[in-house]
Amino acid sequence: MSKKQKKKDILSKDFRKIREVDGITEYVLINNGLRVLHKHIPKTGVITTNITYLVGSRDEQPGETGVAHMLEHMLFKPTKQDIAKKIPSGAMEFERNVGVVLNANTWKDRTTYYFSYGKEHFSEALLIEAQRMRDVVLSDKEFLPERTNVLSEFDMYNGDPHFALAVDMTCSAFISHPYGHETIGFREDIEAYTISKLQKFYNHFYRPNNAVLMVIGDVDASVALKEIAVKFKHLEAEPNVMDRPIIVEPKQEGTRRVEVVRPGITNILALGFKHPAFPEQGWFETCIILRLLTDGSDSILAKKLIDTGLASGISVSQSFSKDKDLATIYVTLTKKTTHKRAEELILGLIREISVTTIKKQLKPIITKMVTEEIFSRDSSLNIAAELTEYVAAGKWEAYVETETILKKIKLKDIKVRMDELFINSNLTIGNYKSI
Amino acid sequence: MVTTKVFSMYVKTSREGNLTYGEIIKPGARTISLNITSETNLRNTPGNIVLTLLYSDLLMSGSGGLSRDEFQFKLNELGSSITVSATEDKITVSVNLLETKLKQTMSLFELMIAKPSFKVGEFKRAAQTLKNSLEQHKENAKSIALSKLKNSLFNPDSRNYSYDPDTLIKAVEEIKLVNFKDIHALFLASKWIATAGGSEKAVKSIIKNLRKIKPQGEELEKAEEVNFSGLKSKHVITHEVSSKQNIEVSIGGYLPLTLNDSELPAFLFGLAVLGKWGGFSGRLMSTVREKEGLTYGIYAHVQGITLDRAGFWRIMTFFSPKDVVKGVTSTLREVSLIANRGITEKELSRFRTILKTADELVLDSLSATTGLVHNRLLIGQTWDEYKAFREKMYSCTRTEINKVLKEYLNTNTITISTAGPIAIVKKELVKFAN
Repeated sequence: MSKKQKKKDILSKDFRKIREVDGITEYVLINNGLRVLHKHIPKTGVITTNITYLVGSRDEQPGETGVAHMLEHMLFKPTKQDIAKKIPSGAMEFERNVGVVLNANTWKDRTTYYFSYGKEHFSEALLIEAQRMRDVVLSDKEFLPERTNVLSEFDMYNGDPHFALAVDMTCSAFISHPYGHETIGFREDIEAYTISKLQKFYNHFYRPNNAVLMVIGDVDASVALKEIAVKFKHLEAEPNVMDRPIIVEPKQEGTRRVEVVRPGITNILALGFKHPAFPEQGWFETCIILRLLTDGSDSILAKKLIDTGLASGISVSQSFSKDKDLATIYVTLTKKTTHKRAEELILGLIREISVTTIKKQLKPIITKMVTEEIFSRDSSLNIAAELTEYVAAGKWEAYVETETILKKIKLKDIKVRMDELFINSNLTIGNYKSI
Repeated sequence: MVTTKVFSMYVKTSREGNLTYGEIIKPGARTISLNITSETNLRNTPGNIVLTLLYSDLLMSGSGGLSRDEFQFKLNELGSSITVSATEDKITVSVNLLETKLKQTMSLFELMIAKPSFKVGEFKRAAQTLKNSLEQHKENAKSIALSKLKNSLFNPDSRNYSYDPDTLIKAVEEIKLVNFKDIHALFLASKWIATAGGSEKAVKSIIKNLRKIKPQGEELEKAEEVNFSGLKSKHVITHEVSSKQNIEVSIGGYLPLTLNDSELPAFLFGLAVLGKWGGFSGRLMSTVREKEGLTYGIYAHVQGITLDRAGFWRIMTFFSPKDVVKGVTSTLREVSLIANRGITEKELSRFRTILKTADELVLDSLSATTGLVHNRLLIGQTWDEYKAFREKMYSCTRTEINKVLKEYLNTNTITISTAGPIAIVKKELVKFAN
């Protein structure tokens, strides 16, 4: 039987092909709705499999913030199959026996697990993912020490002034929308988790029809699909998993402000503003504006703040979020200025940026972003990581359109976007003060 | 020199006079990564450290008739990037670009090294920026814990010794504009180590170009170092950084081995079993993190070793103030356990596979492979020597590994360095000292 015929047989029996865009093909496992994205990179000897569940911190209720992330940790604990085999955890054993690269991460709209390994381990990697989708045994014995690890992780982030400020700023920026807390949650909520809370979350969201499995690397489609069908076909879908409320953030009517005071020497002024969702063109416009303002020694804020000794550092955050989210510019101030003076200076500078300045910088910024995109896709692991963000935003095919989107952006788009982003009723300003 | 095929790439390293280079060829690659390191080999003094840091800024601050902004703008127009970084006795220029922009980007690189401006205004700006950045460094608890660990093990003229921010800030004041001409001459004349990753055509063109532009010069004499401080007891260091939530911990000891020592592969193998860097497979991650739930991450590795310089091993982790005593106790227990009882047969077999796989997975990425080859050349290993070293490591016996662990993981002569909100646990922590 020819390869083509084999692939066709598997397709007609178990999978339906949805579309193919620029070397990436999307399939759906007919009986339970698991979606598969496959990209064949021959002769590398390496495969990355990445399963992304379309559940994140946005799906958490008040009092249980961070539960999506806590559950991510628990997926490295034993499944019922592991317990039967008397091994600690399939995923951990996979690393400890084979040396695969493995990890996971949780964000606002998604939770992602990945393995990168030699191609001979493909079947084993799929088996582990399939088993832990439904069969992790959540018990206090495994949960309690892991919760202290998560608290340790929380404290690690919280020791960073930028994080402390971000927590308060997102809370203030979002009154109704569930983006109003950091993914790791509040310490008080983490301390109050119970197994039953985790179990409920796991039962509902960890389902094949709420997941996208990416297979990137040295395995062709016929082999990949056959193995996926064997390992995932029996898993049950949850019909109601996609029924989630659409929450529109109420209109903001003025600048919001927060302040964090701690002992130490660091003083930070943070300028937060809401921006369009990823991967809309407006998201990329925001990205360009942030680069114009802060990227490199020749950026507008670096010249006015770092070069003059008013600041010792500038950094930014902008998330790949499915809905409108908060981006932030953090400026670490020196003793030569105050929060108030720096805020006036920065907002004044931003509002005075001329069309001529933008015009000169726009094309080079776009060229640089396109180059960086190409660099960021140089291994199966990196391709999967980037594709994940497009999957979580519900538009994976935009992954191959990034260059086109960027090159379409015009001077007037940037000017209009800039005026929208930095009006008072779109701002959340944070002051981190040391005493 | 043999060319080795690694998955879909080809790697070769060569040496010609004072240019040592690595070629990583990936057929069809659109991107090019180039790293060039000059071994300026200055003595480890506060003045030389800040001079090197300032030089790395000034090299990017205007060349030929172009100002800093004009130079950067030309790079941005191409979508290329050039960065200069300074570490210990080396200066590294990293260039990332698309193959279609090779000629123009390399012209800018050549201009940068042929005609740097070193203007007074830029010098003043760079000095101010460096001082501000050093001030901020005073709250970097992780880095402080590491620096203080190193300083307990090494003498000030050792490359492994770190000066504190106040000393360096003071040293900035002593630097004069004329110093940059001297260090630049040194940069040009010193031995260059270059690594280029990309398509065959691009890599060959870059190496050809480097041969042409690299000025000849004599290899520098190594600056003298008296490395080991002579620490002979268990030592505890505490440093208060009150703004942090966790206490950063660096535990380690002097390792009197260089790259050529036959015991090093066995020690590296054993240390990986204790706390392989990254992932969850090391013993410390299994016990201190998973079983006991005391920290989010705990890893061990070796630092500072080259062909002719000994270094140190260390464990890096953090604990909450309430868990720090328990955490350090557990960590020391694991160190003693592996030093006294060694690794098991099962661990030997598992870690052979783990280490081999990790080595192979790096080769899935062109830029990661380029970085790996460059880093090996920096410490004095060609690609073939590196592969032979790793093969030696994979084939170490349990007896060899356990012998070196017992010899060099001595918990009676280690330093426990801590930085963070120490005040309430300081009394308990100092009890760990002899």
